[in-house]
Amino acid sequence: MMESPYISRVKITNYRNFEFVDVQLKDKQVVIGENNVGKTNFLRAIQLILDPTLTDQERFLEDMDFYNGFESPMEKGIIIEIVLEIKRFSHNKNLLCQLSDATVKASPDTLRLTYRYFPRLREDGSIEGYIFKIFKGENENNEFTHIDRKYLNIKVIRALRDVEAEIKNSRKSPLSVLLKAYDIEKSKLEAIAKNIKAQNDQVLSLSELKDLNRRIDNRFKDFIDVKPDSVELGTNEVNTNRILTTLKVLLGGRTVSDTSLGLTNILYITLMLLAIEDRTVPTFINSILYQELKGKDKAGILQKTYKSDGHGNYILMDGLSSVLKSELYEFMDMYNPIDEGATILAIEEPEAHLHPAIQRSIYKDVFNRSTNSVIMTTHSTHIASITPLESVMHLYRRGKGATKARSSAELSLSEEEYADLARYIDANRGEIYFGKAVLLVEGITEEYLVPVFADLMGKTLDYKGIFVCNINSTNFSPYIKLLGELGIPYAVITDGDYYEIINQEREYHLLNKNSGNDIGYLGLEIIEKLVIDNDILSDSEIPEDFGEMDDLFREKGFFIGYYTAEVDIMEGCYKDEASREIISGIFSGLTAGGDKQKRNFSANLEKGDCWACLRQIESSHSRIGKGRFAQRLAHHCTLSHMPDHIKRAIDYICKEVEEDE
Amino acid sequence: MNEMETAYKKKLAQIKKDQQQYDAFNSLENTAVLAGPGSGKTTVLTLKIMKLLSEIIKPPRGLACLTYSNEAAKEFKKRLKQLGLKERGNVFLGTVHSFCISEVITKFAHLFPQYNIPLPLKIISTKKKNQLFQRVREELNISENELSLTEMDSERSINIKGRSQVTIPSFDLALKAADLYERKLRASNYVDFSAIILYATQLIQNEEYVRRSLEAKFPWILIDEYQDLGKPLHEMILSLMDGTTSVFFAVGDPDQSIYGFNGAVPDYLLELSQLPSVRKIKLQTNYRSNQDIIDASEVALNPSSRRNYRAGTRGDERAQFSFKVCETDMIEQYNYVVSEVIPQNLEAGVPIEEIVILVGNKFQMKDLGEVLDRGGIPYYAAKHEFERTHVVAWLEDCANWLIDSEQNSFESIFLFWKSFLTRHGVDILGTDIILEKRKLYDLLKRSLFGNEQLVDWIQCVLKNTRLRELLKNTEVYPDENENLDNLLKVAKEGKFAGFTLEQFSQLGKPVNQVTISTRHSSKGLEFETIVLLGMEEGNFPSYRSTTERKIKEEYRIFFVCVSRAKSRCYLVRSKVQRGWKKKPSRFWTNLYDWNIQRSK
Repeated sequence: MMESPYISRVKITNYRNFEFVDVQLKDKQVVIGENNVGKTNFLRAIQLILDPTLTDQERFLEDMDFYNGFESPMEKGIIIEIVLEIKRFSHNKNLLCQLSDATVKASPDTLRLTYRYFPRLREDGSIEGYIFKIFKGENENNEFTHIDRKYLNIKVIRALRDVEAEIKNSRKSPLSVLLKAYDIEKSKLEAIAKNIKAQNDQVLSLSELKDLNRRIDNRFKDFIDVKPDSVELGTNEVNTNRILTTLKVLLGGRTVSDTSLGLTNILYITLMLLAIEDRTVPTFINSILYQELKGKDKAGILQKTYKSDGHGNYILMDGLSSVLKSELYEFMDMYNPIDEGATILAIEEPEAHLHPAIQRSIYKDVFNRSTNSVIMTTHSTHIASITPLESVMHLYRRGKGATKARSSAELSLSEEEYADLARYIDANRGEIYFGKAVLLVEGITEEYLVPVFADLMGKTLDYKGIFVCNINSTNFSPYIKLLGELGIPYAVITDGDYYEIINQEREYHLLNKNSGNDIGYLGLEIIEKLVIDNDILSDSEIPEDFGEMDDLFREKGFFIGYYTAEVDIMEGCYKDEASREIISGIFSGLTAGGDKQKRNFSANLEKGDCWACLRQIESSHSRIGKGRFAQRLAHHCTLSHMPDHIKRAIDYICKEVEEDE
Repeated sequence: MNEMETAYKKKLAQIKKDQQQYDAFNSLENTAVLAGPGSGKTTVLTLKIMKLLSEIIKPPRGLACLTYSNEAAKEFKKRLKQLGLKERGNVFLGTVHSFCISEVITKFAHLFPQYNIPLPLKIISTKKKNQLFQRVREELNISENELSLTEMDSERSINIKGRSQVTIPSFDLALKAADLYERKLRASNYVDFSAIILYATQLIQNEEYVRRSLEAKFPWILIDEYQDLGKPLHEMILSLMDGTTSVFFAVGDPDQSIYGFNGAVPDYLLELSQLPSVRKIKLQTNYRSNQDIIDASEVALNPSSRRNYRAGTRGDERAQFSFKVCETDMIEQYNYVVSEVIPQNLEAGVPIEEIVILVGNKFQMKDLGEVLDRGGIPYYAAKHEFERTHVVAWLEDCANWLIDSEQNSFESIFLFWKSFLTRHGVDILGTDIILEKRKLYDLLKRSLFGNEQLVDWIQCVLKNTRLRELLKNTEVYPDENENLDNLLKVAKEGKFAGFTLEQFSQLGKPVNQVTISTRHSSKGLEFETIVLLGMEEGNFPSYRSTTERKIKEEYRIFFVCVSRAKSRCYLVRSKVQRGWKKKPSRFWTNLYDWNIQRSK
């Protein structure tokens, strides 16, 4: 099937939470954001233009629909404007002919629709009232009407919906939409209706019923003797039109109401996705239509794409090549045109009532296989974790200000970067998206210790909605790109990795003893490259001096240690006996080595040979390792163990979040 | 069955009897219909449009039907309405010119700034255009005799590049002037008729998105009078035919291609009809003339291959041919018309409006008119006193709605008015729309009172709508105010003075009058009797027609003239004109010899 049109850009001015947002979208779009940040209003803005179920009355807005930063907006003549751009529509000739007037760009094919709610002025310039208009393209006189909406529209599935009722509703149910599309011959249904009636009527031949009939008739005539002069039992008329609407979907042999709500939701979404599919290429062709189309099929495409079902009808084959698919699409569009367009599906909180594993599997399928454009608003980390990286939109608010929107649609990552990041997000269940801010750290030590240090500082990260993400490397670039695109504040904590140049080689794992050798910091070098590559700072802005450089990077949220985390911790506290004892105590408690090793560790620490201590922690004799050490330290550490750069990072990120409030 | 369905069925039954018409009606592939005179092409086209819209093309897609003139477009609309065509989106019926403006340039030009098409389109007035051309001639030192505006415009259209293999020798001086003219026009930010067509052709030829959008809207494109439409349209069609799945149905008659001065030649239709992907269907039954006239017209054409046209009515009727030789000058020919031709015809029962007298040019028309006046014979001069422009057509629609509000829709009258206002800088929005609608409704309804005479009614509507004021600075209809002057003049003139509203559409048609016309302007008309004057060699064909191409066109003009007649044909010549001895026209001789042969 051909890919369906999608909303590629939304621009909202002065509507509800939004003072001004202008955001790019993808064909599968996941909208995340806290409660009350305006996810529903974002969809509502789109609905003002595209939802055919909205009445004109609902398109006339009220005072409270204006951005709440305005006092009595309708006296001031504030204008609300919503602009949608839509891409990938021109392969569908119905859409192209109906909407080509709205084109603003030919390649890639892009059309624009604008809703505007504006004051009508009297001759003297005073405001008489408000009116709205929806227009196509750049020409304001080119109205977008209900006819256009017939061919391009949106269907919104609400979060707290009564799915059962909708599935059962014979008129609105997606099942009846699907059935209707088959255009089943009326004569066949009539024959079935006649049979059902005959079957039903057999009941009347039961003697018991004949007796009952006689009794009712007699009793009735006792009361009144009028025409119709007899009373009879009969069966219901079988209405041909209703045969199809009486069909039900059974799950495991039970009707929908018997099944758990979770499955009902999946069923509903399944039916909905089928119902809005582009039906230009039918999956089923009856014999009459097949013969008719065959007459027009000079290239013999039908033979290559349909197979007989054994009853004279034809079924679309699976696994057609994309070339064949697009030829078939052209052919059907030409010779069996349908009076339909495209529907964009919006689902609010599709995770409702679904088991996390099912959420992952069904939305993976929606993302990968559905040709329709789908917009979802969600709180589910499970859905976010499987969302394509470029399909995330983040709605957020700083303090009481207007809601902002940022999306990852224009995220540019190399293939490897993309793969790494996607794997990380999937493995960590998408939590990176849901933080108010994110602390990116390079290893397990920081992952354990940073939250504890923050607690000790009285700045519990969890309360503030700050996540610590351990990326297990210094490859920060894809993460900060994504967070930057989405407008999620972040800080980076990384090692300084001090080195000296000895015999023209870099030597690491040394303490700075002012040896007179040339020195450097790998951590600064990594961050320098990172900020330049990501256009955070330009080459010329970065000073030569290490101290000045470090200060500048901190302003931008990059906090660099001196050596490596453990060494920085020990180096910072070894002069203090109490602090030293805590560390020695942990070593002693964890090591597999003997007393001598424990004594050596304490001695090394006391004289400040922190590198030696770290080697002991990691050595095969102790069998501790950085992770286990940090885990245990987290239980016992005090503020004195906290390296300066970590303290600064926590202060920085807390301030970023506090600015929100 | 309602009235319209009956009309449709009746027409359908009628064309079923003509296999060629029926083939054309049913053809679902690219088709070129070569339709001889009186062969019912308009009927075929209108029925075909009905069939396509009811059976083949599903909404929201539609079709485009392109015509040569606004008048023809109006005629199509009228006939389709009678056949029961419902209003529906994406159905375009109009001239190539308005197609280029409304469906190509206004829709797409802004997407392709590289063409520098000045937007919004401002159309240059005839007066300004003449001034511009005058300046071009001065700058290039070209005298009036060397190059006319028409010749330059024709060269501009012939010069467009594309797929056609037809080659027409170019006129270098015109090309040089065209180049300078176009630069000046562009600098002025105006466009003219030719520029609009050329821009649209370029957009269609070069931009795939434009082609695809047109294909989506118009899976079928039908073209009437293909032979008159010239090279740009031909290239548009070739480009769309190659690059889209749209189907084309072109109707025309290469033998009736007589607008060479506009760059229209028969070669384009012939080229189209010979493409391997195009089915050629000939309509050879003539439902206008008797067989003698048909045979005579074939002789007139002097074709290398027979056309085999057959009379479909007037089975055994014989034609009457008269060959008159006068002594001196045109005046004797005019007197002959007054003293003999007209009385003879009236006596034979031919109504006076069934007679046409065809002369070479407008000066001869004037002289002939004076002679007819003196002879007390009422006449009607078939020259365009006013044009049936969009504005005039709208006035007609208003009149029709006032007469019969059930058959005519106020909504469509208002739609034109609304778009007219918008295009003239009057923005109407929201509730203003209903106010403006009421205003128009009231003023039209009130216009009925005290304005029984058509001319008064037109003036009343023009005044109350402020139409003429709006047209003063128009960039859309630059020549419309003058056209309305002409309309009013005609409506005021003697014979139309008593006209009522009902007779609006009869304005500019003969009423108890003999028609006088130039040979060129006779195209599309039909009469019982035609009278051809000035049949001397040098006059017809003109001594100025020196090339083979021009001579061939003169033959086609003669063919068009003769085929206007249903049953009677007079050819008149003088032995001496202005002191010079004149040989009979080769056309006179050909037909004369044929007639002698035939009588034997």
